Amino acid sequence: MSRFRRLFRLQRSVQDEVNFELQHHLELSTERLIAEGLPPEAAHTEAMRRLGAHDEAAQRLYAAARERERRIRWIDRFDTAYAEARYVLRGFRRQRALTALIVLTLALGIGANASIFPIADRLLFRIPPGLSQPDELHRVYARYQRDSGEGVQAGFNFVEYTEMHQALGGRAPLALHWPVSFRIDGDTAVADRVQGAYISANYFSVLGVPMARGRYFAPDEDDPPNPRYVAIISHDLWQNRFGGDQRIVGRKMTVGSREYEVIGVVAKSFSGIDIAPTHVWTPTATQGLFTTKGPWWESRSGGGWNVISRVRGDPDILERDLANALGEGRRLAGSRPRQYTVEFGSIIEGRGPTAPTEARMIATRLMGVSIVLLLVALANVTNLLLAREAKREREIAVRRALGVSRGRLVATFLTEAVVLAGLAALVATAFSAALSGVVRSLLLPTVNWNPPVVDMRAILFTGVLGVACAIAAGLVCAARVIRSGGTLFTGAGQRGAGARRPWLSNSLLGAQAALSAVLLIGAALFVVSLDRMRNADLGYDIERTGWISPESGDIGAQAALQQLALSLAGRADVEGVALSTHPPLRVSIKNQTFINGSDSSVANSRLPDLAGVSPGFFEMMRLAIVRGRSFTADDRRGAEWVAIVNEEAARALWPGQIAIGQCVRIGARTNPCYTVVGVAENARRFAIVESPVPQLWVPLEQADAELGTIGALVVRARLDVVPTLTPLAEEYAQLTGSRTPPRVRTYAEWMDPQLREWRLGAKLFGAVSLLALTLAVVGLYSVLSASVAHRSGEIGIRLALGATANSVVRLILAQGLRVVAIGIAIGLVGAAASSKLIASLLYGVSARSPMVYGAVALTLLVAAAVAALIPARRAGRVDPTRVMRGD
Amino acid sequence: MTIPFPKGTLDVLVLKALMWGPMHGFELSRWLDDRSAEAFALNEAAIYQALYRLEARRLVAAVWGLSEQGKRARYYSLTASGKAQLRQQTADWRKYATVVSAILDAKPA
Repeated sequence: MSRFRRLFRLQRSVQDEVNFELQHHLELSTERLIAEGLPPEAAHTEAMRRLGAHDEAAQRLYAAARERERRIRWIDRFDTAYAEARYVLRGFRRQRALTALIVLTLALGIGANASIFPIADRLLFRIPPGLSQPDELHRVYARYQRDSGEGVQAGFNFVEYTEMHQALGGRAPLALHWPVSFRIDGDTAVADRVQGAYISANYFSVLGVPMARGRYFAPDEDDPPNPRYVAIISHDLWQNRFGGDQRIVGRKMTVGSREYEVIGVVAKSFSGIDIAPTHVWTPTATQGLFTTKGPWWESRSGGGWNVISRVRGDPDILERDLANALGEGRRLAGSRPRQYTVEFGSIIEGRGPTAPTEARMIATRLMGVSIVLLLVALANVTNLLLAREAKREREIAVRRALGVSRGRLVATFLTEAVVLAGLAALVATAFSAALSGVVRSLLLPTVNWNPPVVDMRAILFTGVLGVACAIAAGLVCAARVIRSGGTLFTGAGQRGAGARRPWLSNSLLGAQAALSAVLLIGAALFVVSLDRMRNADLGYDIERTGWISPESGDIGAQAALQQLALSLAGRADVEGVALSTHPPLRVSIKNQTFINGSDSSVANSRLPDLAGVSPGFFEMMRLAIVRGRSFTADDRRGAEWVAIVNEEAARALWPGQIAIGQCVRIGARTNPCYTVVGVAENARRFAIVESPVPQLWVPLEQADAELGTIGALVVRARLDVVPTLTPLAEEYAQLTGSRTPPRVRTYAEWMDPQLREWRLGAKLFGAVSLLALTLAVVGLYSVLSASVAHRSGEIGIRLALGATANSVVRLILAQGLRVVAIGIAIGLVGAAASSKLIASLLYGVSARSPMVYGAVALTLLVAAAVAALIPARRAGRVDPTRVMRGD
Repeated sequence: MTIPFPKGTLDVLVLKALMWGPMHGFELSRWLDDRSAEAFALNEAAIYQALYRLEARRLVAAVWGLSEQGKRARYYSLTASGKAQLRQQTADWRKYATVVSAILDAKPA
């Protein structure tokens, strides 16, 4: 019956009851008046008068009766709920251990999501704090078509920026921004680095960020031909590094290799617009990232500037004008024409089309992984609830026999679920606060966590998730138990003998095993990738190596480096030293290259990376020469000009031919010929994960002005390179008298950030998969324990009929392992099917590696066997005589 | 001669009437008439309003039963909360009557 009709019926019945009552009163009153001597009609009239029975009074009575019914119903509901809650709490107290397990399991799943949600939220959804009207702020992206598909440009060169600025004509301001890592206050090899950015003078005003101290950059402080070395710092840096110095404005600090004057401190609420918190901002004019032939602000090279805009109103026209300006600019410069479309994207870095892989990987995979964990926890909780209900079958049967309706039983289950959810959510909130801190510091130390991440949104999310999960689990149990009607307890001591097949528990167990398998495979793949990356063959061996490279323009730099090299060579703590035009793996120098007597340079895609190196370089860097010879001391100025190419250069420049003996001219086709005397292995250019690129080395003494002169000293220490490297800066300064310290780095520093993604993936998947495994093991143990308790009758009969304890143990083990094995198989298939999702993130290992899959399957089976062993052995110890007696 | 029924007093009188056992509405109105010697001009429908009010507040409970005449009737009885409420309100009323009487009996100084 519909609610409306029920309500209507209720109202009608209330009215009828009132009428009946009044009618009864009227009859008795009339009888009495007749007994007192009044005629019947008069008695009736008098009775009506005394009762006050007219329409208005009747309506008032109906209203009063309805109000009465309404209040009684509410009070009844409250009483019922209170009684249910007390009943439920009594039940929890009776099964403390199981209840605690359920709450903890649910809390784990919810807590993991509650700690991960804010992280993903911060990376993907949350606008950087401290901005004024952030919905008007955008990052500018340009898309264009090229042969290999669509290209997306998030970084522009200064000329393009100027063209865009002119095209807008003041309709929307454009600010520049280039995140960079700064060394501050002149620390050396193991430097204190902070995140910084080069910005245009209008940056802070475009973003609408106020200053806590000082002022913005003035336009004349950001004039590229005349850079002024001024800096603005973050509130954090001001407090932590400068002790909140009240005279911070005007104070000097060293950034990189120069002294800057601090002219302002930003408001506390702002810490940059990137994922990593930013602490130092300097004008674009001071950029030290790249040099070009001629003024960099007039060059189309060096294109890495992010462009930010504040757009009010319709962006379409502005986007079109910007696209036209970019296209026209290219055309006028004589470059290959391009059709651009410009897009004002989100100010949130993580949502851009070129978002850093790390942010994307973390944000999207984190959510996926945490949801998988939640599903495992949910399956576990459902199983535990089922196990709990199985113990209460007698009680439920008695309640049903006493007339408790199914609806009331469902209400009981839901009350239990909500109470459990409430407890779990409380535990999860506490747990997520701690876990969030751990996740942040371990996995994402460079992300900006201002403001703190456990906030109302997270707590609300936790609460809703908790209730939803628990209700889902509770309903599943309710449906099952109610459908079964509760198995009546028979007096013959056969507890649940031949009970219905536990397909639901087994399916849930299987699901847990499958999901755990998927997570473990992910973890294992990342761990293997990390290991492969760490031990990747870079061509160069960078173990215990580092380099020192002065700032350009230092007088006497070359001589100083040569002197340092001489002093290092032969030292007990030094294994090898070499000089080069620039540090390997850090810098790329290219120039026009002419081969085979051709008049035109080789195509850009085949241009080799160039370097000049000292004799012994290849031996020191352990880059193998596979054909021909290495450089010797005889390869000096005045001798025959020689070169060594790598295998990739040999293949690209002289396919199918022998490279040795070939002639290469660099810079101009009339320049002297370098004869190739050796072919080296491929070495990395910038990164661990990289395709081979053509490379060409010449002896330092034969490197001409185009290539450069001695620009770096590379050293390999016998033990730790840091104590060897650290004093070099000081020694260099003494030799040259230069006041700008040189750059000093270890190759471990170079490698470390590149490993971060994989380290992250390994830690993340590892942690979550271990949690999932724990839950699955606990789940298996609980289900089997409950099953053994439930089937004690059957087991007792088996033993009484002659089965051995061992055979019973094997039976239970097989039961558990069979389910898990099926789950594992499904998990392996699922992982293989979804391998594409992580294939691009792996290194040196296939997403379907049989070794990994096999290891994971074995691990899960062993864990399952251990979990199943205890209940199995308990089954083997069942006393058949006690069971038969019905104890 | 009847006097007007003082407002706010019906509830406590109904509770008092039910002290000696369950009654239906007519019995209750008869009891009040007898005890007050029919001094109050009481609208009998008001008694039912008071009963419904008290029932909503759980001071009084109602069940359908059979009257002496064998007819279906709704019987009202006092709950434990009703008894406590009666005690409280009786004490309040006595105090109120004492104070008012003292004021009304006051003679000029």
